[in-house]
Amino acid sequence: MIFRILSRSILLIASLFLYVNSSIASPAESVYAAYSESIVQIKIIEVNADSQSALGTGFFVGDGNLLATNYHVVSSVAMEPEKYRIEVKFQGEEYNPELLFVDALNDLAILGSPVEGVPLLLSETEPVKGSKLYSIGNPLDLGMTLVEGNYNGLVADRFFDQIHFSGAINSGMSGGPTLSEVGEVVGVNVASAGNQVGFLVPVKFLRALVERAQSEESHLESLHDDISAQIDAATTYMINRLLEGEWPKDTIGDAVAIGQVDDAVECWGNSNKDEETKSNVISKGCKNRESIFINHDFMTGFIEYEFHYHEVEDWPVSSLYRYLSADASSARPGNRASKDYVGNFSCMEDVVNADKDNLKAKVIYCVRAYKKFEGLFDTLYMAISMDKPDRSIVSHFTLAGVSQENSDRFLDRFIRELNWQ
Amino acid sequence: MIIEKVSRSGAVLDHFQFTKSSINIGRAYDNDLILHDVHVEGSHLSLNYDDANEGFWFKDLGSVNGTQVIRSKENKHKKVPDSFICSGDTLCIGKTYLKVRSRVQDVPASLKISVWDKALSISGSIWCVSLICLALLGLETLDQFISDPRMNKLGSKALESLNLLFIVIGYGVGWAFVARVQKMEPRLLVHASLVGWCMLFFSAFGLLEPIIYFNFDATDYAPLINFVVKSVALFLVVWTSVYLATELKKVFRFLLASLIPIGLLLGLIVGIFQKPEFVRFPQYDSIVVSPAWQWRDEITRDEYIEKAAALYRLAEKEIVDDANEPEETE
Repeated sequence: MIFRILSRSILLIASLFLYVNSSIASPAESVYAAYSESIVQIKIIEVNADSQSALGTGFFVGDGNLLATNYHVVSSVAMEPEKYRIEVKFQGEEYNPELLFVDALNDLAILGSPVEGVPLLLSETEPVKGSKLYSIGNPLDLGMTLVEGNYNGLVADRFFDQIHFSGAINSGMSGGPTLSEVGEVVGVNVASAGNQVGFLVPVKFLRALVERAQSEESHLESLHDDISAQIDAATTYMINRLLEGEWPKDTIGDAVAIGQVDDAVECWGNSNKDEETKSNVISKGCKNRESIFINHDFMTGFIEYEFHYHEVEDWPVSSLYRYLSADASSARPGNRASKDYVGNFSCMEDVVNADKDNLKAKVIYCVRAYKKFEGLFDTLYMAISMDKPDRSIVSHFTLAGVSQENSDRFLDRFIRELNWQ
Repeated sequence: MIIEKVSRSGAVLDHFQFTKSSINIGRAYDNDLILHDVHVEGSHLSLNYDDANEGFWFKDLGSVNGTQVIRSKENKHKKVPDSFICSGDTLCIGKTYLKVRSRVQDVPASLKISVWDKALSISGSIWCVSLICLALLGLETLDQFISDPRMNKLGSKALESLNLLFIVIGYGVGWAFVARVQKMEPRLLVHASLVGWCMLFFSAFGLLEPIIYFNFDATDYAPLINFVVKSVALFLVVWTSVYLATELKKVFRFLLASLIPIGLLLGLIVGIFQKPEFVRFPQYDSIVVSPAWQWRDEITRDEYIEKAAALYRLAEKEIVDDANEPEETE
């Protein structure tokens, strides 16, 4: 699983190791020498305790008075500006830049810097696959670290573009630039899956955000609206894509479920036929691979759907239904969310009988509203078929960060898809 | 004249009949009525029947503890001399209560034995209690069978069912003991049958619960329904047991029987107030029952989707309500 490179103290060792092992060949050396002045260390300070709560890297862009970094480095400032502030260490001095613009979906943020640095050039062209890239970051107080790796194109099967970089990006390097051999920024360090598998935000998203920062006034009070719009745009895009074509049918026992609707969702399945209990359970499900990080206690932009088919032999009918009642009782939302961000779920349950066929189900639908992002919801759907004495299909989906319209569109489609064969 | 030895609460413990119109009462053996009460004098009291006034003259023979008169309700308003008592009044000497009666006093009409008394007697017969126990074990086994149709855990569950029988017997023994202490009939099996019926009812209710909740869409009220059902049943059982095993007045019987329902009510209230402010997971009702037991109204998919729209407003209301509450200070 990909872990976010939020810096914590364990990185010290990793970074030391990195530093010693980096092969500082000639191009690398020049990159290092030329651009170290453009790169800063970013610290997030908890105001009350005056203690460091997160570390990251940033670099000068635009006219030299803007700093680019990851959104996730500064997310606590974006969400709780009264509790956190940003501190930048540049050429031995400490400054407090302010947060101007964010792109939560692509994990980018632009800060306004009180001092000017040497801006890095943003590449206009996509690198050639296999070409050498240099990733720079500043973990802890060790000073600059440089990592060499290769460009491997965009990560396959995602809704949203990310560059696959085969280099050891490590915690604390988040928000640092990855440069081509000619010294232009091609991406921003964002995440790592370990073992030399790193992820970068393509520079095109940064360019868009920098342009915005240069042409628009920042309205910090509208930051939440900005993020709302970004989440909404992302989920709208995903749901549009999912609803675009025909949904592939997938048989699951005696029922027809939904298969892999889009390459950007990954699907799994397993079955458990138990001779002893004379039961057969088949489970299948799909979910998107990415989600949107808003803060350490809130993720969104998550879509998943699942099917559980139960078939029993020689069970009393009441047994199957008692078992189903318990089995379907504990659906969980797919995203992590604390009470600062979401309200409680409101739920409704009804017996739905399809108009033209025989699948009758108890359908449960739950919705919780977002507190900071108006008009967005997490929704959860669960339908338990209950018209056959010895078999049942439980279908389920959760959507995170969707508008009412999008969730309804998805519900409308989903509720009609399920049937017996 | 008739003298009834009564308890402090008025229950008749013994009675004595005298043909003489004048008697002596005390601890000494030369009395007409001999009392074994150390607080009573050797010769404590003399009592004379006054035919003309239909009452009794009494005279304390110089006792240390004296003689108190407790006038009965119907005689209270009569104006009589201090040393005169009417039929039905009680004298208290030492720690002994004596109620005097005239032979001509009417007794109230006899009460018909109530159907309930007869029912209780039948219910407390050995065959009825055995049947209740068997039915209880049967229902419990059915319940376990539904939960675990392969009967994988039958052994351990069967032992759990036997515990129920211990409760039935234990309850009977407990009340029989109380009755013994209260000098009442023990009626062990009647008490046992009472709690047996109650548990039988709970078992049956447990089996019906999902059907009720599903069809009446009443899962939200499950704690309340549970409270009402349990309270009423336990109240009736305890009330009857108290009635059978003690001679407590109605109000005390009522209070004792209310103890468990009050406890349950407190539990219900605490449950409501302890509800966490934020629940990370949706709380929904996933109860489904087998096709034969479904008679709840059905709606179409379109109707469902239409209904779902209201849910977003509810969810938004949740966060508005939340925001109105004062913020916690850290």
